[in-house]
Order: sequence, then structure tokens, then C-alpha cells
Amino acid sequence: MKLSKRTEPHFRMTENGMLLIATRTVSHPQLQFPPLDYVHGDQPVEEVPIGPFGRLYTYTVVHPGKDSAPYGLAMVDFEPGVRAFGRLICTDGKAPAINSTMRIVPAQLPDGSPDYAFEAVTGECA
Amino acid sequence: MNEPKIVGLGITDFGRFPELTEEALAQSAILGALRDSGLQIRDIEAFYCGNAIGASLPGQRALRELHTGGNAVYNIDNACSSGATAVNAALSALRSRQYETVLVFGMDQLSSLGGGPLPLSRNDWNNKRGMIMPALYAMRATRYMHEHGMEVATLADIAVKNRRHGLLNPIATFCKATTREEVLASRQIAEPLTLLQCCPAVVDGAAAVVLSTKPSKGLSAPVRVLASVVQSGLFETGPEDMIEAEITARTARMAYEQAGIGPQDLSLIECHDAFTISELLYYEALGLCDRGEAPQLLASGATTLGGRIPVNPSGGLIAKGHPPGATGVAQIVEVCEHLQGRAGQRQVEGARLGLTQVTGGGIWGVDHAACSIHILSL
Repeated sequence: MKLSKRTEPHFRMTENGMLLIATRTVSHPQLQFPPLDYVHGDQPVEEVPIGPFGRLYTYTVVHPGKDSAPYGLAMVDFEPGVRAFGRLICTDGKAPAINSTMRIVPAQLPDGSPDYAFEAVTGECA
Repeated sequence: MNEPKIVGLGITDFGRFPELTEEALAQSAILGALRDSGLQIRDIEAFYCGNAIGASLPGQRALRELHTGGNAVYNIDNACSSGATAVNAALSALRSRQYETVLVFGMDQLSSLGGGPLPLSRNDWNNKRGMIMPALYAMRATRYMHEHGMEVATLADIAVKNRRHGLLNPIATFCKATTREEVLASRQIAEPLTLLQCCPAVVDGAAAVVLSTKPSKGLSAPVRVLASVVQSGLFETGPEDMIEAEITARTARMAYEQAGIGPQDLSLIECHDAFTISELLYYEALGLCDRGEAPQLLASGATTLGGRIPVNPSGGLIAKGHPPGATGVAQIVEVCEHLQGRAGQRQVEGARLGLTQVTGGGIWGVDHAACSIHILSL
């Protein structure tokens, strides 16, 4: 058996902003994000940066209850043909409008590990 | 080979029973189904158990004190579709002549979890970032409202209709009448879904059916299974249409073809209304109306009891609650009762053909991971 875990990060910081890293393989040429976790055999995995800007497909604001603050979630579409799910930053508690231009920004998972979130480019609020 | 038919039905109350166990609830449904079928437990050659939340070996746990004689138990977990998937597997065994008489049951006890949305895998990419099932459907609702200009009041009207139906269903012990205003004023869960637009989160219940290729000894007419289809979700990573309910549309096409009927032939439907938006999406996916026309279909009254095609006459998940292992079997029990003319105050008059639809999800990339559809008739 040859089965290896990929350890490359799922995002990258550049001068133009934060990018997400999608992957594809010869046998599965459709880009996927989150990227492949495991590689079978010696199959090469191509990394394709996506972002820094995407378009808001849909969103919600979750209200977990009185002991936790509401948080936003979003589906954002990126060229070339990738939809990514992640936290949505709502400025002043307001979610952006569908089709807003979104950018990828640094964030943290609940366990403190570095991650990404989506934020509307200024001026595009619902 | 004789055609496999449903020859016995059993169902418990759906409600909050923290003093009970899922095993005890399942036993109640199983014993009810056996009484209804005129059979003894020793007549059952195999058992199929749908269970989504409980610990390992759910079927054996439920059956051990019923003294089955050690026949095969098949435990099936397909999330909310577990019970209906178990029925599909049981039918396959009957059709292949592996068995002549089997019993399918579904069970779950959510009151032991203490409330909140259904627990999902913590290792899942989306779930680690805060995804919960209400949020997934809320995002569908947001997009549907954007594309079709639907008002949030339409979502509330699903909750009002199904609770009105549920008041006629003696097993829906949680159900209370509600108004559009009360639904919209209830606590936000995941915008635009409010608490009363979500199926109750802490509900326990079980349901069972006996299936046999032998002549029925049951109390009511045996029910034919014209179609039984289980499908799985496609892995989607691109900009897919989240309001299409693709897996339900695909499963429905296969079921209609298997049954040799179309949606216009149906007398009633029990569908997976875990959230108000779900029922609207399924109107379209099941072919009751064209894309974007679900709000108009609801407003016409066609899907209300007394309408052209009542949807969720039981009250659905919104009125009854949703112990996920039990739901698919409970839907089949409900449709059978209508076909047999024993659905009481909620009886769909002249019911000839009924459809049940249940999905299962909760993992990234395959938002609807499972779907089971059954079409039943006398």
C-alpha cells in the first residue's frame, strides 16, 4: 500500500491577498476545495490557487443560542469553477448581498489553528 | 415468486420520552407490527434495523428481549434515510427469495442528547467551520428567495400547514397549532429559518413494518411496493445549483419509472420536511410543479389536506419530530394507513397511490448524501 497524507496548507498569503489552494489529479480533473487529503500511489496532485476574489452564492447567519454569539456562513464561487464553504464576516452584524464580491481573509478555527473566512469587499452590504 | 407486500404496521408516539430507551420504543413498534400482521416473532426470518444516532448493534439491542431465535439482524445507518434504506434492503432480500417474511424497524432517541441540531461528524471540513443542518437549508432558502423572489412568509406557511395536519395525528404528541406570525417571531436558528420552521430537535420514536411474500394474515389489506429506490449524492465541488435537490429529482425519476406512474397519479406524499424550505424544494424535485413554482403550489392549497395532492398529512417532521432512524419507516406506515383507509381524521379520501421521500446528509461535498423513495398502492 502506498498512501500518503498531504501536509501542504489549504491557503497561501500573497501580495494580492489570501488565496485558497484547490487540487486536481489526472484521474479527477475537476478542481476541488478543500484540497485532497490523501494521495493513493504516485499520482501527481496539481495545486491550483483560487482567489483572492469570489462571488457570494448564498449565506446564513447561525444563532447558536444565548451563550454563543451568532456567526455567518457562506458559499462563495471562485474562478475557475470552484465553490468554497467557510465562515462569513458580517460587518456591523449585516450579511452581504448575494452576488457581492468577496475576498478571502485570515481567520482561526475554534481550536486556534489558522484558517480563512470570507468578507465582502467594502460597500457591498445587503 | 409472489410479490413482497407490507402486511403489518407498528408505530409509537413521537415525543420526548427520556424515561424510555430506543430499544423499548422499538419493541413497542415491533410488537404492534406483529399484531397487525397476525404473525409471531418466530415467523420473522430476518430483521432490518434503521438507526442513525444510537450505539453499535442497535437491532440486536432492541430485539434481544423479544426472543427472536437468533435469526439475522441487519443494521443500517444512512443518516436520516436509515429506515427507508432498510426497507429497500429488505425488499431486495425478499425479491431474491433469500427470505419470505422479514421485519423492518427504525428507531432513535434524541432526548438523550439534550437538544440542539443533529450531531454531525466533527472531522468534517464544513462541520469544523460551523456547519449544522439548519444552516445548510437556510443557505438554500436564502438562495431560493434570491432567485425566485419568495417571501419569508411562504416558509412560515409550510410550518403552519404541517402543524395543522399534525394536530389530527395522535402520535404527534409535540404538535401545537401555530400562526404565520408566531412562526416568524420564534427564535432565529439560521436566518431565515426560525425555530418553528425546523423539525423539533428532541423527539424519540420508532416504527416497524412486516413485509412478506406469503399470503397476508393481517388485520388490513396488504400494501404493494410499486417502487423502492435508494440513491447516493454526487460529489460536487463546483458551482452547483443548491436549490435543485438533484438527488431527490434523480431518485424520483427512477421511482416513477419503476412504478410506471407519474407525479400526477399520486394521492399523497410524505416528504422530508426537516425544515420548511425542504418541502418547497421537494415539490419541484418530485415533479409536483415546475422550478420556482413551489410557493404558488403551496398557496393554492393543493398540498393541504383536502387539496389535490396532500403533502405530509401526518404533519411531517415539522409536526411529529424527526428521530432519524425511524422517520423513513414512519412515513411508510403513514402512507399505508391512508391506502388502507385507517388514517382517522387526517384520512386522504380515496387514496390510491402514495409516495415517501427521505434524504440524509451532513458531510461536505455531498450535501444530500442519501435519498430513499418508495411508491405504495393497494
